[in-house]
Amino acid sequence: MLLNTWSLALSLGSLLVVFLLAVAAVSAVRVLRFWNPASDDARQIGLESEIWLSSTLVAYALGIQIISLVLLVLAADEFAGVITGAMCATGTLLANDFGIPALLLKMTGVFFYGFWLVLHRLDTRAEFYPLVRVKCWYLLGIIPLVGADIVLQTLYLLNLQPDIIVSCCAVVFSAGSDGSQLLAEMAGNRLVPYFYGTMILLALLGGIVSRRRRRVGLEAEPDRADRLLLAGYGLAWAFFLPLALLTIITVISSYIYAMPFHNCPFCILKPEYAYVGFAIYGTLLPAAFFAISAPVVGLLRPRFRLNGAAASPAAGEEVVTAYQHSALRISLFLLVLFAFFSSFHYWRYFIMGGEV
Amino acid sequence: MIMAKTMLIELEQVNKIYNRGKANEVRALRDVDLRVAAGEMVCLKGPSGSGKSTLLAIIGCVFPPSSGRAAIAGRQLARLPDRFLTIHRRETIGFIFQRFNLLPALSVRDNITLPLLPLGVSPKECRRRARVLLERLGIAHRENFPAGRISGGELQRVAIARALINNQPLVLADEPTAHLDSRLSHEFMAIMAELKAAGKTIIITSHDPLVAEHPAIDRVVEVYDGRVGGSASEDHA
Repeated sequence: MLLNTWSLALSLGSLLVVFLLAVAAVSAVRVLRFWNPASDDARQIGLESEIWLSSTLVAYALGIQIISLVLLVLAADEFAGVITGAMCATGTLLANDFGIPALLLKMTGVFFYGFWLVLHRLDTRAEFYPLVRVKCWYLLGIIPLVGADIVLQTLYLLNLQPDIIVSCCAVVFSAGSDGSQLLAEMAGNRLVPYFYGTMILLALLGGIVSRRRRRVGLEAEPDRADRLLLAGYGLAWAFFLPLALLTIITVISSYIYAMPFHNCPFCILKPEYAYVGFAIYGTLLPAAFFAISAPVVGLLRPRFRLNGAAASPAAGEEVVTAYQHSALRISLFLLVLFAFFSSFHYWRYFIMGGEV
Repeated sequence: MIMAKTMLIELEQVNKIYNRGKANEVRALRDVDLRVAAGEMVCLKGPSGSGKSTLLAIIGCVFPPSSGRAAIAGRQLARLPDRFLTIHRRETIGFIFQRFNLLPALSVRDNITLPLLPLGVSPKECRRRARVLLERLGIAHRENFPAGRISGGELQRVAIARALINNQPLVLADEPTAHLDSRLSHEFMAIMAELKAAGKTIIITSHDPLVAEHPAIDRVVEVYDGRVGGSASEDHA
């Protein structure tokens, strides 16, 4: 299966990522050892140029890694055509022991990779490289994660056996009488009140924080109440993300398929369901990312404050404040879109009194 | 009572090495120390290949030095991240190039107002500023002419106008009289003298005696083999 077009795309992408990160890691180590912004020597000036190049390489590498999540899902869906018994990505991802771990690790990784990109963005918005060391430490910290991600992905691709019969999603995700199927314990409809309750809570919390920020001025430093509310918003999203994924799989998907016993997270990505899965996941994951990153970024505020005296007014703490405000607004906007895409079929069913 | 002059440019132990560590390594500048006060007009004089243009490029924040401190108004602008360097360079420094580097297909006015485009200045304000400069430099009648269809002397004035359109306090000119005849060189220096009188700091690289010996020049700095030699104060009074 390694010579399949999708496998090749994933593998070549991973090779490129390994190369780019290897080069960047060497720079990161040098920066951590020798970085001294007060110095005018050749090494420091060289490092300032070098960090720009290596940061660009990392940004591309992590961008490729984020895209590889979509590629893996599309590849797994494509493999269903050649693996006996599989009807969609569910079957092919369960075809060996590495598929689901690879997918889950990639999903987790997207948040970590995305956060490096946020750090880089904030660093480049300030005049004095306030996050250069943080970026380097963080990069060295996530390299093992990228490595594990790539290793699992490669093991998954290497161990795919087209002649082994796998189960289709209808079998895997439907609650059977023996209770052995995946997610069988999740009584779907019990999740719905939590799902909509949390969604309303998020909208309220986000709305309150946004309103408070607008009232005091977007440039003003958030006070303790703002920070707590923003942290609460991020935490609520951290709770909502797995809840939303479970609800989509166990409840929402059935209404999209118009089949009570068909629960699959991947079939909704198919053209016969108007690719609605891309809209659902494409709003949910970025919304969660921006909501969670907003309070986390607030922890970096002292790094901008310490150097504030040397910076121009446009390059201080307001860089952090501006990001937090943008992230909050983006996550709220995406929440509205997610609510629409995820609820459309569900509520249409009830409002229209059945499938139309 | 002696008034301390405000230093606009401060270079300390500046070195510039091209292709470091390679067979074609060139050490263009060696331990250069140079200070230029605000409102001063300085001529960097030296033979071709002496490092004048590299020195001017470092002062103009085109690239950072390989080592050493190069500060403009107390800040090491060339070492700022690109995003900020572009802004500060645009606000602080006006360049006049040896071959003027104008876009021949654009009109004189469009060439002059080009640096205002990224600033989002309104077309009306662009026209107003261009008009003021064109009148000051005596080429208002060429406003709508394509830059490719005007004379050498007029081209030079357009280049000067472009360097001043954003009212930058520092003007750098790289061999500006190299392709001009004696009359146009005199005219150029007369305009520079006016700018100096208006408070601009001006640095001109040249090996043309007409520039170095011009009465408006405060100081001639000899650049030779990447080193800055004695800086002779010109007293033409």
